[in-house]
Parts: sequence; structure tokens; C-alpha cells
Amino acid sequence: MKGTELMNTKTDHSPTVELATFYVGSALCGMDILNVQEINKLMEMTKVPQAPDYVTGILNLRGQIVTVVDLGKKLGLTSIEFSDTARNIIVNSDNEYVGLLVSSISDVVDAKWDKVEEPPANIGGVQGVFFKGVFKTKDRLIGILDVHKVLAEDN
Amino acid sequence: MSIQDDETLQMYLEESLDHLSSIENDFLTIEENGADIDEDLVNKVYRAAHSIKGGAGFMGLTNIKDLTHEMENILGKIRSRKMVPTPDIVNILLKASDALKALMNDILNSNEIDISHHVQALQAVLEAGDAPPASAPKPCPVGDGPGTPCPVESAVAAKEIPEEGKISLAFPGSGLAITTTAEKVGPHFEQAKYIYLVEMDVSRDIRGQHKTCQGVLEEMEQTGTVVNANFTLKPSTELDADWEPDVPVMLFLFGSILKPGDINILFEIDTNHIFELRSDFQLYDLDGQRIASLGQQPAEQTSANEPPPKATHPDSPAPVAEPVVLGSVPDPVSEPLPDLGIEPVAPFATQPGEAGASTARKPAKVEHETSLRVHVSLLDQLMTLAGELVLSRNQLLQSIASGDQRNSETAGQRIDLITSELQEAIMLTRMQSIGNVFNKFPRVVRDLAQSLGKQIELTLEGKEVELDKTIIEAIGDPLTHLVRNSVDHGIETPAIRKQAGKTATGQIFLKAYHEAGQVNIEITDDGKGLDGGKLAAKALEKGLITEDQAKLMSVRDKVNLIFLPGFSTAEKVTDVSGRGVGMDVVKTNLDQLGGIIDIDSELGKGTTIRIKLPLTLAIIPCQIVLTGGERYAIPQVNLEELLRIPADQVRSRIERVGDADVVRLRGNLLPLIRLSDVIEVDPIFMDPDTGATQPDRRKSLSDRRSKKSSLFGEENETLKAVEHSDSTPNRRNTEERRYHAGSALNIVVVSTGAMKYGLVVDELNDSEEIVVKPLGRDLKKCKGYAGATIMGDGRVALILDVSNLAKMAGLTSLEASSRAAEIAAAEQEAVRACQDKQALLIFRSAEDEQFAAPLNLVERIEKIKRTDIENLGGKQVIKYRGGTLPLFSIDEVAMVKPMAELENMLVIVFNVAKREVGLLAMGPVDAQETNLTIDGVTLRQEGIMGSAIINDRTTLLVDIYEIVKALNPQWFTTPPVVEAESGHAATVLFAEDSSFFRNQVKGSMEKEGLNVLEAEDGAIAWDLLQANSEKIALVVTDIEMPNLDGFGLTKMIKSNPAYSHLPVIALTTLAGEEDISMGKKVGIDDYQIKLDREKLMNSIHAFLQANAA
Repeated sequence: MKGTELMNTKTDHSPTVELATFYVGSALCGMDILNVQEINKLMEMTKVPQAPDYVTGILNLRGQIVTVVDLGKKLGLTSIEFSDTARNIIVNSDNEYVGLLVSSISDVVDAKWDKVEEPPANIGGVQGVFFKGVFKTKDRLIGILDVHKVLAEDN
Repeated sequence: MSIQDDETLQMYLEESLDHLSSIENDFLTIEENGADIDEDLVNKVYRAAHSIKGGAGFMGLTNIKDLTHEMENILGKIRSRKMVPTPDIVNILLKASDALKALMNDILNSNEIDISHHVQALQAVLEAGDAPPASAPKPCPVGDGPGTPCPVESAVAAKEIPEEGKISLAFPGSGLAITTTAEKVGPHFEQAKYIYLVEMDVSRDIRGQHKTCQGVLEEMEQTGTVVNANFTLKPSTELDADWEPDVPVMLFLFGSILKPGDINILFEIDTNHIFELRSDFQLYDLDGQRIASLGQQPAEQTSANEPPPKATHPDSPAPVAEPVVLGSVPDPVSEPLPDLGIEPVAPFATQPGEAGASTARKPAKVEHETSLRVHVSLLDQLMTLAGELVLSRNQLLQSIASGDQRNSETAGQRIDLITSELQEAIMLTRMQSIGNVFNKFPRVVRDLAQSLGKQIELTLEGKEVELDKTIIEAIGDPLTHLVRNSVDHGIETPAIRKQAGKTATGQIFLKAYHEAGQVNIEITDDGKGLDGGKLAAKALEKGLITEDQAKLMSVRDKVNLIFLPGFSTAEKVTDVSGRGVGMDVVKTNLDQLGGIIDIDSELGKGTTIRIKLPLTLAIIPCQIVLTGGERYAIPQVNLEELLRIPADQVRSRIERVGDADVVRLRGNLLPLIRLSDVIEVDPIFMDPDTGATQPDRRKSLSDRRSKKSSLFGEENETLKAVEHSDSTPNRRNTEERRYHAGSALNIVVVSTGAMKYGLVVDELNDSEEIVVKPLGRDLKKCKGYAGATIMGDGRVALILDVSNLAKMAGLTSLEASSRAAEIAAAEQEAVRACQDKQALLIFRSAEDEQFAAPLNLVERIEKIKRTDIENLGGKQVIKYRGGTLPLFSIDEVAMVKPMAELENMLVIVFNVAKREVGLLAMGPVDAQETNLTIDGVTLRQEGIMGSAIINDRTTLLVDIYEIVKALNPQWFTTPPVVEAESGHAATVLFAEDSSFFRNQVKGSMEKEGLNVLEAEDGAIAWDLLQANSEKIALVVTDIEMPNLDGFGLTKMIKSNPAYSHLPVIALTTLAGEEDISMGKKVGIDDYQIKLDREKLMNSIHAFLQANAA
């Protein structure tokens, strides 16, 4: 909860934010590193028949059942390929652990909130509403994901 | 505000709720006892109210304090027999305790809740109770009970205070005095409180200290009670911040828990102005020095009315008209009507909160469910286990580090053991007695019965039965609904009951008990019962069932219709039931708990509702199944049986009805659901040749017909052949697969209360105890799962929700009725089976040959050593109880495997022909009550009366008589064959429904030279008797028989003068006391046990001889 609140208020107490960045397909996304519980390699998952198509499965994270969400599918892109680089980002959303399946992970980037721009309507095929903003580094463009919105039901 | 630290509050709350929970039922008992007061009980309630009040006073919970105070007053009256607890009074007390509960539940805001009407009602009761003895001077209406404090003096009129009881208190040298009576002060002493006389100058001690009068009063209220004052006192909450008394110097008597050393912390004034009033009615200063002897003085001498000489405003008019008692606003006693309508007079109780705004209150509610009481011994046990666990862990780590395989194994085992014990102990901490739920029912029933004008007696049984906390919390509502239903719809009004020949008071039994690892709850009433016909008509009308179905239903089926969704029978909607929430909701609630509900009713006689609940929800035993390569868990509560249909039987046992598959199971059709279809995964089968798993592409379960059996089959087969030639080119042909063991169907037969179906899965695995974990919100829409669990290998498996699976598969509630029919049939069968139950002793004489003998013939079982056996005169004997016990083994007579040569043996001692004989045997020995289908033909031989399947083993039933007779024929002296008058052998009419017993007993009777006419039931026996009335000399009958039972038959015989002379011997498997007395009533002459041939024969002979003579 705490994390979600942090993310939702762009005008945070701290003017800077550390972004954990990762690739969803070819799109570079980031999220506040404080939302990230841990990042895992792909573990053995149990498929859940009849689950929504974006749910890859469920896994056992030290005794907790974690739903793994294919972030590609969830954002309306193609599903994430099970490659060696693919990772599971475990986030705590609404007091529940959710695993976000991403194509690969990248660096941690320091971003200043005042440098973050309003998201365009569409970033690499992903709807703008899922982003809190866009942060430009020297050579890259990072879409800052609003994890709360992404994981909200019915989308 | 003086809400103390959370911990203290929490403790107070728990304790008070504890008290409250018992208060309610005690009130009901008090009401029941009426004028016959149980002092101990009243005392108990009184004490409970008192301790709640005491704590509340300490915490500053004024509302709670006031309410309990009033309750205490009434209880005091009841205790001293000045008031009879009528239902009306108890009603008010109960309502007050409800209000108290509500206050407790919102304790932080309790002071802001309006409780004035409760206080008024209580006071009205008190005054009404006072009214008759008003002639007797009673200065304080509550002053009679010891320990009854009286801080709310409003009900006392000053003029009623008898002159001689007055005490006037004043500071030496001060003109101010305060008048009170011993009765008023007395109770405060008894509450272990100190009473102080305090003088405060408004300008010097209050304004000068930057305090407000209101503030001072509020503080005082929190630490004690103002007994009396020289000014018009109002509760602080009614006062403005700038309120000042109408006297320049305030003088008051203040009862407080604060000690003399601490009291001045409150007032911060010169200690000369605080004196302590002790129980000898002398004033002492705070150091304990006596000030002056006051004694009882005529009030006139120093009247409080006199304007003080030292008054700062000598010109001001006399401040008060009379010595004022606290909150003297209206005097209820002098009011014309002691009605409930009087303006609230309790000074502390009314309109609180206005001034309380200054104090910061926590808005959050205290959630008292978050803590649990656990017995210390249990905690100790947990502690010990935790210690052991740590030790074992150390051991394990050590042995792993040193690579010691053996030791790590032992450590592993230890940890396994400790974990299970730990689990058990922790589960125990969650266990609560069902009394927590039951205890509220006496009140529910009472209130409801009263409002409906019914007389109902509720009996509770098994309150101590323990269930998991979550279940306890969840069954409250369904149970309440059921109990309310019983009161509202079940029990009739006294008038109707009398018409029906019942007692005016209806009975409701609520019973809980453990059985087979589950908790059973039964709600029984002796009311009007359910009208199956009406229910069926209603269901028909609502389109829940079809007319054909209705015709086929038994009464029981119809009664169970009440659980169908959309069914509510209340003819008129009362505030009790019929609010659209019907029994189906109850059922759904119980389903969610994994419980099962069943209803049984007899029109006009009453209704019984049975509920079965699991003990706990957190850890449940499950059957693990495999489908589509994933494991799934099916809770054991839903599991009826596992079924494997071999490939070669699939064709004959699986049928397709409409578009649904069904399996024939013991003559019934069971609907089948393929799990892979419902959850839409690809089923997998193990290729019998390669061992590899392959997708199973059968279109339907019945799709296993032989190639030419159907026109449609060919297309399928060709399709399949192509598929298989693709995947496994070396397969020989498709036909073979269908008859291979791998093609067998694995079916889990599950039930969800009213519905039963078979779930077809790929594979059946073990049964395991699993821990239920919730699924994430993304998966909430997947209704087929009840949760997930973590398996031993760390992977996650889903738990199936079998009732939702049925819904998903489109199994409708139509099956519910057929299910009900099945339940009824099964139970009837069970009842039948019970009647033919036979208690057997199971033993062996060689390793793999199982024998059984009737248990009622067995005298004892002794352990002996082989060396103890002596061979004398060609016979085996053993010294036994000072005599010689002849021994034999079965193989001496019957053709069975020879007796095993063991060091330790068992001797089963039988009593045959009035002698004890020992049968050599070996363990394991087991006693079992089973209902047997005995095959008296296949394995029949001398010494063996037949065979039966017991515990999945063919078991030979030993005929002890035959064996003993074969070995020792001289023991049996055949009594002279009794002849009937005609000179022929006597004829016995023998009625018995079990063909095995019929043949057995008939055989033995014929051996004794009797003619036997056999009948399969009582009705046939009756016909035979009429046809052969001259011949028959005696009747031997079984008790439990279809069509006409033994009692009925005997009744007919004995009531017909033509046959009444015939002796009737009844045969039973187990002769219970009830049966015997029942039998004696209808005229049965003797009771014999079926397989005790000797006694039966003796009895027959005795009767025949008596008749002949």
C-alpha cells in the first residue's frame, strides 16, 4: 500500500526517484524501486486453467502464493518469451504479492521528478494511462509505469 | 480524558466481555426461577456488573459505569428479595446488557452514545419496585444492599432524609457545612474508596490556578464520585468551560480511589482544605491526624443554608435553598408517574460528549477479536515443542554438515514428529468451544418465543465441543437462522399444541458432538414438522422441479427441497424469517465451510436438522489428483469414494444420456464430469508402450466403443488412428490402447451436500494434509478453485471447489433431488444393515487365512506360550484358572491350513455345552460389527459355516459347535426328541429374513429332530401359521424383518385366541434392554441370540416339553 501511494503522488517528498528499469518486449519501462520486493529468475510455475490470459501461473515464494502476470500481455503487447533473460519482478500491490514477468531487467536510474514529462497517448504500443510519466536519459526514454493502475482489475 | 493505556483498556475489555457473556444466560435463569431466588446466581451477576462498573469508573467510561450501576441497583433489590424478577424486569435488564455490549464494542466512543433510555428504564424499574414498600422509610433507594454505592443521588429527595441520620460536616473555623447521611456515605467506604471533604475557593483555588470549575469537576468525575456538594452540581459534560458554581467556596464530599497521599495531585490546594472522612464518621487530615469529633448532630445547628460568614460576597443572596444533593434537578419520586418518560436524570449519563471535545479521542474501534485466550498449559506445551524443534534443527544441521546420513535421517524423523505435534498444539489454540455460539440461543429463543406468544424450552447439549475459531465465527448466522426457524415455524402456539395433544411448552434441542473427525450439530424441535407435500407443491409451482420428479419423491426428498435456491415457505412474512433469505443461504454458508446439512421431518411430530462440520479449515486432508500434467487437490470432506473403471468395463459401465456421461455405480446412475473439460485443459494419458505422456484426444468418455459398434465410431477411429500414427508411429493399433490398463477411467466421486457426481481425472495420487492458501485477486474470477496449496516439492497445486465445478459443467440442481432420493435410499439401507449387524471376532490361525467367530460366544481371549501347552491323553490342554482347559485348532476338524507354529499364541475361550474350550489362534485379533452377506455354500465344510468378505478379505466363519461336537461328541447329550401329540416330531415355525441365518438355525433345529417350516418374513410366517395351524407347536422368529417384523407377528399370534397358546421365541443378533421389554409387552416368551445354538435348543425343548405336559 505504502509503495502504491508513493507512486501515485508524483509530487513526492523526495524530488528524486530511483527507477528500476526493465524491458517489456522492446519497450523500456521503469518503476519506483521501492515498489520492488525482489527480482527472481523464472521459477517453476503452476498453470491455472481458465485464468485470465495475462496470468502466467502461480508460484510458491517462500510459502506465499504469488500470481505471476505477464506484463507484456497485461499491457496489450505480445506475451513475454521465456528466455534466459526473462525475470520475475515481485511487487507488493494491495497487500498481495504479484510477480511481473518481464523480458529482461536493466539498470537502476536516478530520476528527478521535475524532469519527468507527461506521458504521451501511446508508448511503444502501450496505452499512456499505464504510465505516470516519461523520463529521458541521454540516450533512452523510460516510461515510468503506474504499477497500481496496471494491476488494477478489469483492464 | 482518562482512557488509560491501550493495554489496560484491552484487559478491562476482555474481562468485561467475559462477564457479559455469562450475564445474559444468568438473567434468563433468574427469570426462570422467578420469586424463588437463587442467591448465589444473583450474587454472581451482581459481582459481574460490579466489576464492570468498577473498571469503568477507573477508566472514566461514564456511560458504562452508569448503566452497570443501575443494573447493579436492581440486582441488589432482587438479591435482597425486595423485587421479584418478572419477565418485564429481566427484559429491561437484558436490553441494558445488550446496550452494555454495544458500548463495549465501541469503547472509545462509548461515552458519546446515548444510553439515557436504558438508564431511565432501569430507574423506573427501581422506583416501581420501591413504590410498594415506600411506607417504610428508605432514604436511598439503593442503600439497602451492602456494597451498593449510590453516586447518582438524583433519585433521593432531600426531604426524605430522616433527621436522625444526618451528619453535618464542616471545616473547623469555616461556616460552611455539608449535610449527608450515613447511608449515603456508607457504600462508598465499602467500595474501598476514600472519602474526602474538600473545600475549594473558586477565585483562589480555581481561577487563581488558571483552571476552570468544569475542568476540575471533570477530573474529579474521572477519579471518583462526588457524594455531596454545597452547590447545584451538574455533570461536567453539561457545563460550559466558564461555568462557575453559585457559591464562592465550593464544598464537597468526594469519594475516590486515590489515597490520601495522592489526592492533592487532583486538587492542588492547601492540604488544610482536604480532610478524609473515615468510616467512623470522623474527619482526619491527610497525615492521618484526627481533626474534630463531629458525630451525628442535629442538622439545624450548622445548616448549609446559612450564608457563610466568610463569604467573599456577603451581599449576595443565599446561594442555595436547601442542602443540595447531587444533580437534584427533577425528583422522580415526587413525580406523579414513575414512568419511563421522565427526562433523564442520571447526571453523568445524559448528553455527554459536548464538553468532551477537548479531549482527543481515538476514532478507531478496538477490535477485541484480535486477541485470544489460551490456556497456560497449552502455551507451555508449545514452548516445549519449540525448544525440541530447535534442538532437532541443530542436530540436523550438524549431521548434514558432517555428512552423517544416519543421524540426519533420525533428526528428520524427529522434526517430522515435532512438527505434527506442534501443528496439533497450535490448532488447539484456535479451538473454541461451540458454547460461544450456543450461549446466545437461550436469549434468542426466549425473546422470540415471547414476541410470538409461544412457550419454548431450549435444551443445550455439548457446549464444550470445540471447533476452529473461524468456523465458530462463521456458523453463528446459519445456526441462528435455523434456531429462529424452529421457533418461528416449527413450534406451534400453546393452543395449537394442546389441540394436537402435545404439551403446551415446545421443546428445542440443540446438540453438538464429535463423530468421525467431524463436528455434528443437531437442531431438533417437537413442533409441527415440515409438510413434504406442501413443499413439493411449492417447488413445482416455482418450477424448481417437474411434476414427474415430484411424483417419484419420498417424503424425505420433499423435505430436503427446502434447500433449493429460491425456496422460501413462509406463508406470511414475519420479522423473524421469510425475508427472502431462505434455507438455501444457510446451506450455501455451510457449503463454504465444507459442511453438510440434512433435514429430517415428520409432519406433526417435529423436525431434526443435522449439520456436519470439519474441525478446522486451515489444514485439511485432501485427495491429490493429476489432470493435464498438473496436480489438483480435492478436499476430503467432498470425497465419497475413488472409482477406477478398468478399460474393458468402460464400455459397459459408462453411458451417454443426452449430452452427459453417466456411470453405473451400484445400480445408480452417477453423472460424470471430466475435469479437463471443465477447466479446459488437455487431458494426458500415459502411453502404455513408451511410458511417455501424450495428449488424450477422446471426444467423450463413452468414446471407447469398438471399431464397428457404431457408424459414427469409424470416423472417430480413423481420426484417432491418424493422430496416433503421427505421434507414435510404432504403435501397433488403436484398438489395443482402448483396452489397455492405461485407458482405465479414474473417477473421484465427490459430493457437495445435495449433489453427487464423478469427476474424471487423469491420475489419482495420494491423500495429503494440505495448508490452504488464498489465491490472488486476478484469479478470484476462476470459480473452480477454492485456493491453492504448496506441495512437498515446493510447487503449487490448486484446490478444486467441487460445487462450483458442477455449476460450471452445467450440472443443475435437478440432480439435487435425485441425490436426496439416493441419500434416503442409502440411509434406509443403512438402517436395514444395522439390524442385521453381527458382532464378530476376527482372528487367524495361519498367516494368510482369516477366520471369524460370533463375538457373543467368546468368553475371553488369553495369551499363552506354546510351551505351556500339554499333551495329555491325545488331547492338547492347558492349565487355566485352576482347571484344565481343552484346546483345539480349526484344522483338526476343517480342511484349512495347519496351525502356525508360533512361540506366543492366543487362546480364544468359548463356552460350549456348558464347558469352556479354547481355540488356538494367532493375531491380529479384531472385533468388528459388520453387516455381512454370508455365503453359506461356496466354502461350507465341517466346522466352517460359510464365508464373508471382511476388510477386503475372504473370511471363514467358524462353527464352534460343529468343531467341538466333532471332537467331543460325548459332550452333547441329545435331549429326547419331543414329539407332538400326533406322535410326529414337533413342528417349529421359523421366520427369518436372512437366508444364511435361516439355513443355519433351521439346520440345527432339524438336527435336533424338529420339523421346521421356514418363512422369509413375518407376513409369510403368518400365512404359514394359518395354513398349518394344527401342526405348529412353537414359533421362532427374527425381530427385524421386512413387511411384518417379529413384534408384529407376535402381536398377531398372541392376540388371536387360536394361536395365543403358542410359545414365541425371538431371535436377535443383539438383545437390547429396550427390545426385550418391548418384546415382553407384545408377548414374546423368550429371547435368544441367533448363533447361540445351544441355548436356543434348550429353550425350544423347554417350551415344547412344557406344552406337551
